[in-house]
Amino acid sequence: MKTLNPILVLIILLSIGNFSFGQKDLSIYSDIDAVFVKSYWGNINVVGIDASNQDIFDLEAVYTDTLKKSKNLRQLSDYVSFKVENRKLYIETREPKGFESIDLNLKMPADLFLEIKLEKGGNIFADNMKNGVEINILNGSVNLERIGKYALVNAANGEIVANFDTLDEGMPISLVTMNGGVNATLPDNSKRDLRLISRKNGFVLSDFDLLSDEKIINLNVRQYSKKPIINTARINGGGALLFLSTENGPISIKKNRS
Amino acid sequence: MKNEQFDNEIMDYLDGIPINSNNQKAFQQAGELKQLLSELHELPLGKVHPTTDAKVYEFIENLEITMNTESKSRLKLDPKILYFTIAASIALLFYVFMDNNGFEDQYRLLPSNPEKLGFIYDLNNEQLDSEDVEWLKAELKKETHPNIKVTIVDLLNNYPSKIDNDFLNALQKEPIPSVQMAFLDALENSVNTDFSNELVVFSQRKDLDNTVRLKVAHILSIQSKQ
Repeated sequence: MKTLNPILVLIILLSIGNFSFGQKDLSIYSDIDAVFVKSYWGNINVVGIDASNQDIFDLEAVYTDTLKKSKNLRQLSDYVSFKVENRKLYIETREPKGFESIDLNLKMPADLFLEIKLEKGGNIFADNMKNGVEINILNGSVNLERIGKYALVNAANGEIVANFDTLDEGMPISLVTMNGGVNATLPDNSKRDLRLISRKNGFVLSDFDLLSDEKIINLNVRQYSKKPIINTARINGGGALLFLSTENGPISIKKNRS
Repeated sequence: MKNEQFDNEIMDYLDGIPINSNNQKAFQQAGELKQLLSELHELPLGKVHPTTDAKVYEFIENLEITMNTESKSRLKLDPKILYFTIAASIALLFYVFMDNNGFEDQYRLLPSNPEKLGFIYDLNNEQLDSEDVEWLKAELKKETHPNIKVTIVDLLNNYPSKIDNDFLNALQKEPIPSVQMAFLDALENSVNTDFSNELVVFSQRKDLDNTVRLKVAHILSIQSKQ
């Protein structure tokens, strides 16, 4: 009988450890309607998984210490907490000890509502969330792809890009940042009441015809305006609110032609 | 006697006891009252404004006095008039309640942030009175969602009376930079009020974002030139 090479056994064990403990299975939280993620420093990536693969619901976390050394967290319990209240799963990272950050990679059912609060800084990316998202971030950009229903996003320093493939036409969209551009891409038949605010260094690019009582400064002219651009307008006759606001930067409204 | 029986039959019917009489008029009037009552049950619950309360009590007292006077004077009231009076008073109550329910009560009933935000924005199409503006300023301190607060400030920009202690207090307590900036934009456009002392206090906060701090300095420089 052959004996196993101890080094090979060690490598196999380490590999198993990496794959099995590097991510937390969240499929035990099956009886929820929403996920709330709260973090301090670090990127947050969320991917919505369609109904055909609903069993995929997991979280990976990468910890970076004050010396910028990163590691995949095998045991999350010291870094990330989980609790369910009122059918909402709360995922919260610990308050930072020094300048540490925790990147979160979350795969979750696409039909759950997603709420993210990033207290200090990092970038947020969310893809294929079909039941609406609400995001509050201090420093960093927000990039939303294939979003459904609605979005309320608030940022201080960073650009907001939101691409909607389906919308609840009765629900508002509000994308507000202080420094950075705001880009919204909507289905081309969307009907919206539009409120535009770009207080400085702005222009407005729109694939849609914007029906406004007052002239929109630098509409489809890539030239930074010294004057505030503040308008109300209608898209395709008007409907629920599309509120796009930045203190400093341009605004674009594109058609999702797919 | 006949009228008393008529009244009793209708009251029994409203209490759920079947009417044995063949009085079609009683059936018809009782049916109308029952319908009115069921509609009243479906009205949204809301706290009544104290002024409305006082008006309603005054109305009921007057009604009682009138009825007592009439019964003392032994004047028989035509049941038709009596029921019309009751129906009219219920309609009046309905009108008074609905009129004073107010935007605040409607807002309180909304279950989600997007619905609240949409409701606030739609108030741009309404002529708000001073009580509504006061409520919105108070809401700036209570509401936690930043996008809703930005929408409220944007709405309040239509009302020059917005700048007062409540508004400035809401700014002092505001933690979110983009909302602070919305407040400051509103202040920048209000050239006739001196709020420089409050702004100096605000500028001393340690947690202010640089952009916010620069904006405060800009407004203070405008104020100092006035």
